[in-house]
Amino acid sequence: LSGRGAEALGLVGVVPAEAELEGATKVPGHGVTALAMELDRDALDDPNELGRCVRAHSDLLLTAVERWPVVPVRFGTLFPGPAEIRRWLDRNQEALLGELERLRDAAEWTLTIRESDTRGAGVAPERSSGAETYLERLWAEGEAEARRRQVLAERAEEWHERLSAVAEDAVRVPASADSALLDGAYLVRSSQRPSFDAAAAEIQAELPDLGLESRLIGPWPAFSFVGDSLR
Amino acid sequence: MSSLEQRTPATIHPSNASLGDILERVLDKGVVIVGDIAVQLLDVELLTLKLRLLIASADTAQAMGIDWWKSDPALSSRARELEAENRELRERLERIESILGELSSNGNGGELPEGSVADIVRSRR
Repeated sequence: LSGRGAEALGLVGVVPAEAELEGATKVPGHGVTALAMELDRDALDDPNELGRCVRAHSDLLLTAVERWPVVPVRFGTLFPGPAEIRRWLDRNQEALLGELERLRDAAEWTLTIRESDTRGAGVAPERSSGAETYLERLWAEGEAEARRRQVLAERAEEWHERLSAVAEDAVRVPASADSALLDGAYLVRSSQRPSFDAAAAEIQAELPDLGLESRLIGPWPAFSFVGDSLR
Repeated sequence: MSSLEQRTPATIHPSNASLGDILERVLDKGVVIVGDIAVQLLDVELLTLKLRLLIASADTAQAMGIDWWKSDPALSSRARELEAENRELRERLERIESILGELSSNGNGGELPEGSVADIVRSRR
């Protein structure tokens, strides 16, 4: 692994042993199979190659999650070769089998809600009516915008709670001044999809009138719900 | 709009998501493996930051003459080679300066003995 030009196996994820997947280096363990890709660390100096590898990592996981539970592994986790991956599988067999069972028939959906690009920036108050009135108007508009932001923040929390109620698990990236109004991830089982879809559709229908837009992306592997590290 | 349409949200499949969306997941999230000398985790925070910058602004930045990543040893193998070459040259220069200092302090009037400086340096390695 050390030195330049080091070819290594990048671990992508773990699926049940019965999973059949084309186009991946597979390392069988007891009851589980590791999916891996050959990676040349030097090649990652090239941003285009790095982007291609990141996409290949993601695509392999997306293919897997269509049919099988999958434990996704962070990009850039390198092993010298299949023997080391096999030893790692053996050492974590119980934990991996437990995770695969927990994630069976479930996938992650992400929802981001932010200000629409088409929302007007507001009209500046006219200056013709005297300095005092102008400042008063500026102050009033600032207060109105602050109130609007507060109302939207409360709505975002309400939307997150509505979606969390129809999901197995949920996490939300805390909002900041320059972040999306809502940045949430939801672990949804197949049986929950009708309720989740209905809730998401209702929320999306409320957004245009508020000057907001959304991006609902899925199904992802459960990236946000396998936070514990494995040894 | 029918009730069926009302219950179907607008969705994007991850295969059509932007590289930025994908980075959010595969570089920032997923299982992290620790505590095994056979495992090495690339510096994903650095990868994330630099890839984001490059994706967002590579074309614009290069048009403006900004190309810091080409000389960043963390990103460029050519830059790493230059860094090693630079280190080697500095070491050779230090050896030459040391030898010249010795000759001067030996009282030979700063005159070099026979042979090139390179021969002297090689003989004193």
